Amino acid sequence: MRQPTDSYFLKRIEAGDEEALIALHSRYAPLVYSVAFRVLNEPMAAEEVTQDTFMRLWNKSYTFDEKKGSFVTWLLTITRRLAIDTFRQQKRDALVNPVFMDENLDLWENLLETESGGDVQRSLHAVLKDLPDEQRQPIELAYFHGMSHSQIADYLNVPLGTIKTRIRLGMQKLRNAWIPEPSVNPNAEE
Amino acid sequence: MNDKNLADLIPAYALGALDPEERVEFEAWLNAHPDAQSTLADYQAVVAQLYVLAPPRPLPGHLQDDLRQRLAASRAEARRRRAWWQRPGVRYALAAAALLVLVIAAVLVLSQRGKSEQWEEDPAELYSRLAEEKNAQWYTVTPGQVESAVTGHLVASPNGDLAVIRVSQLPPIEEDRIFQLWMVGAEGTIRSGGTFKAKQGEAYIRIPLDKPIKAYSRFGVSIEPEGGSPFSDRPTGPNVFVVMVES
Repeated sequence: MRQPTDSYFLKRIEAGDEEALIALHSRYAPLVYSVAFRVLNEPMAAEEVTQDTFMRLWNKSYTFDEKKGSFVTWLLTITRRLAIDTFRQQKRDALVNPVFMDENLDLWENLLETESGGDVQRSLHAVLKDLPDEQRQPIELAYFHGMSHSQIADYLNVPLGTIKTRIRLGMQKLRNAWIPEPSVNPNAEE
Repeated sequence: MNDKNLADLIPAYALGALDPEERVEFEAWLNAHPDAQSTLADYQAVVAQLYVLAPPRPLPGHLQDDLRQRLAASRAEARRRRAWWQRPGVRYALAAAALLVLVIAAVLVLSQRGKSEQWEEDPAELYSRLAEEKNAQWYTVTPGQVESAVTGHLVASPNGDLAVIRVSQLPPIEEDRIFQLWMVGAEGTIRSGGTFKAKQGEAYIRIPLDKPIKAYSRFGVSIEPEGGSPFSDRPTGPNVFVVMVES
């Protein structure tokens, strides 16, 4: 049976239907919790951010504008902001450990299926897996911890110019995976 | 920085990794290079997918029950607030108190106007008053580059001569920093709308309009050194939020 869409549940939430929120919680809480955990590296704090994210959804669902992006992107933006705020308040150390993306890959792929463009996302996922640590780390520090160029350079004790270059090169690879350009990558499969 | 250097910053800008000074310079460059927007959009699409870098974690089993409890608590709190307002005795007392406040306020207004033209209604009260206007104009606060969950609205009088922004969850700032309001005219001119501090992340900001609100394209707030930006026509710190007025 076809599952109701996120938009359907959002309309129900705006109408005050708590079960619609529970339904979206069932669908996305594992994703929200994983992102919060990645920022905070602590279960209790990640749980708190997860629940705050869904209460924010409950109270502010009307602020979602589908013209500006997908629901998942919007939800995870809230999650990251809340988690980064907590991270800063608690003055935690950012994790720069390698990410073991091969673990539970099926889970991510199931989540990726929930959005359109699954093939392209899998392609991006594959590139992320192969990204050199030196490029992935600064990208992760910016994305998960809200760090700027100079903060990342200080944190990793690497020259500022090097960090800028690594971020640019890493992001270019991800962009090429997201938007394949045959002229640049003639071997890309159709 | 030259054009090449600034163009190289597009990926980092999408990622939110620019330092405040870089960001100001980059955004000025971006405004002058609309052709760079499609590249930026590509990178923003990439950033939207970076959550896959987070290793999947098993969700603790109790979270859904916890959420139900939070919803129940939220419901009870809403009922309690409603009940408080709806008690007849309280309503009469409030009505009497409101009348008294109005009389006092009217007296104060008249006496203050006689002394000075500078008197202004408290922004929080003005916000409440405008919010009750049938044809009030509403605009939504959109977070800027500073990572925060800032949220809020701008409400303006029906004829657009009065406006107040109410925001909550402003990011914490250092003691020697201050928030500064910027007013961008429809023709592109920028001027300061004054500085303010937040209380527990919340603020009511009265916009010092010198022309109807529709004559402005947007309002923004930046984080500045104490005393405000050294420039009267541009911020030096990061953008906290923006309110778009033009459609």
